[in-house]
Amino acid sequence: MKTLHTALLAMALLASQSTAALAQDFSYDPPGQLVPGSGQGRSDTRVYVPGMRFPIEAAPAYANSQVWGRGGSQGGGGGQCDAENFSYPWHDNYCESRQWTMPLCPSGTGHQGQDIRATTCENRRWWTVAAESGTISSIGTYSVTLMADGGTRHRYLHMDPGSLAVRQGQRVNRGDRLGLVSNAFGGTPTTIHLHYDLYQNVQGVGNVYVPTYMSLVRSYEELIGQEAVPCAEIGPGGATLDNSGPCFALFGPTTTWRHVTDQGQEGDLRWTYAWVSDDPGNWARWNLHFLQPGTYELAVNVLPEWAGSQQVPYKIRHAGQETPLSVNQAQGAGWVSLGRFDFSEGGDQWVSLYDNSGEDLDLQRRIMADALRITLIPPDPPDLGPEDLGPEDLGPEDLGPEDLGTPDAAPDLPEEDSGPQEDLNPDPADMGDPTTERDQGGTFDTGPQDPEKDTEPFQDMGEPADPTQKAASTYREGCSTTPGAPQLPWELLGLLALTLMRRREP
Amino acid sequence: MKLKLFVWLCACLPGLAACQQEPQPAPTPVVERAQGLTQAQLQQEHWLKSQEQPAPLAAVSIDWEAAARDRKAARLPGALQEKLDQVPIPVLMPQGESWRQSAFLTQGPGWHALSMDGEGLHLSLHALAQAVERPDLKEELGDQPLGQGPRTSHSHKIWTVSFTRYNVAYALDVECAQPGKDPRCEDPEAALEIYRGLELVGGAP
Repeated sequence: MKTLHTALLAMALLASQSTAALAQDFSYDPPGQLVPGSGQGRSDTRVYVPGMRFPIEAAPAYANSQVWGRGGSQGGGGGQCDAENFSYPWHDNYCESRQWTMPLCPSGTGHQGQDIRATTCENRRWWTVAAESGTISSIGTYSVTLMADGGTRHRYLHMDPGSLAVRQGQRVNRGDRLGLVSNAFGGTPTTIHLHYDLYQNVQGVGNVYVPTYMSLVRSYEELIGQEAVPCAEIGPGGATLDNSGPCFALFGPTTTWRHVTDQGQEGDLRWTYAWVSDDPGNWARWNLHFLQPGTYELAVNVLPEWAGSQQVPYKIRHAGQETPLSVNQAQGAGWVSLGRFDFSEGGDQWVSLYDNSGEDLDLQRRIMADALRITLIPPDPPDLGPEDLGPEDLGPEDLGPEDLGTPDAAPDLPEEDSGPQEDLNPDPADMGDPTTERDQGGTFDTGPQDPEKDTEPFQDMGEPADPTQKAASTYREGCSTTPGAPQLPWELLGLLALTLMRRREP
Repeated sequence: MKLKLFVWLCACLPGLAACQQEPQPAPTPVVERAQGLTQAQLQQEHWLKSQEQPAPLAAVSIDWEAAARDRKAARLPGALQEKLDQVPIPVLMPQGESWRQSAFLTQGPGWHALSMDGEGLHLSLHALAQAVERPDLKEELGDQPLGQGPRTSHSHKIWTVSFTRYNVAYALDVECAQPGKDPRCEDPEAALEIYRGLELVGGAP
């Protein structure tokens, strides 16, 4: 049965990874690199609307040119449904050749936004969604305008008028459906695509259509990093999600995420510098999708050479809530526990790490992102308090050391395939300093923490930090040396057992 | 039974001893090592990291004195006029009864918009009284001020006329109901004519 379970799990992982490969294949031409002959683009790596939702609900989607693509008036042979139009890499078409004024385009004229094709060439099938929360300020014949709270005007063209799910003046939230991608163009069909543009009033410059491309790239990366198709399914055996795997995603400028290719789990790791900023410049995310709800311990791999920040901001989204915490990577070596969290079945759960730790860039402290280890914490076994160990409950056959010894009273061992092997026999070198264990016992799922107070990470001791819970390890409870942390009464249990045995000796 | 007990104690005692051990010393914190980045490289790093951050929004200082001089006495239908008079940004509207009859106002912090239909056209006029701070973009454009406008832009047969008035940024979009047949969506003149006819009809400090 166990073999079958393992085989099924492996098959599920393989299947999920093969479907996720689609997202992993995503590639894009640099901003400003237009289809040859279609004009001069603007090489602008700015993300003008950071954090926005990709404006089409489902991936994959394809940003390219509907005029200079197959089936377009300048696009050579083939039809609009040519596979080339529905493939990576993406192509920027902001500033693509047009006659009229565009102050930010090198030529002073050009296309105002970006053409995007949905997953398939089907008319009126794929939903567009609100890129930001805001108000629907205008609905024209084939245009819908969303004024976002942040001051950006998002314009969507060519949605099917009959499909619109919004009305003028309606308040929408980020991700709400707006309408279906179509070829609507006021009675004269265009190709099936979404034209999407962004308009901002830039201080000291004026109101302009700003480049959309990198905002779309980043929002798409976030979309495909999410779990419409789980990147991997985490079963009772837990998992180790490496930065090289499909569940890991990097955000922010790629140039400030360094790649070390000869160290770390699976032979590589990522790092960036910590800095002072209200918002992160770089961040990383491990997406989690659980097959079963439960309490899981999270730990990240840290190598001292690549981790110098003493207060790395992390955030864990688990079972519908988000818990921030701060981790001292500088004190880490090996697996550093983030604590235990209750997770629900399914996705929309993750661990994120951010670079705005509040440490000055001049300090050149590094923040490392490598592997995340997830370990299921088995539920508490039946209470073994002294009242349950009384003579009336314990016949002679229950009193032998094989029944009362360490394995029974100590935390339950996981099934053979139910946890990473290194959990079972942790290397003492990875155990870190038990004195860094926190008094509150490491259960972080009780609500947001004050990041200022969470400056000490758990060190992986292979044992439960929360005395009320059992760890998936061979280390026994009660070994905590944290002042004030309750210890299980081993001595007491031993004496009690001894007393009982003596009483029952013939 | 004593043998069992002996075995059991042997198994437990090492663990007990382990529990009684003194706390291990904390691992030595990583010593900051000179990474060798120059000040210029650090500045570059800072600039790169800033590239994908939300730009702060700044409220613009509306020139209400100029607005007061432009304000016409013409009154709109009662309910609409009342609404427009409460908008904290000068409200412009094209001349023409069809626009006034169909005007639909939406607003939010630092902006408002009028959406109007008539004469085979759909108009939207957005007013932004807040600006995104992008000093690097301003620096890049240098001595190429966009001025007060109007600037006309065109995509998918929709004309956009951008201009600034009273320090507020306005964008007038003119969209044809039948773009393939309507010459007004081929030539900017129709949009510019609407722009030239804009009147200040509402807004108050």
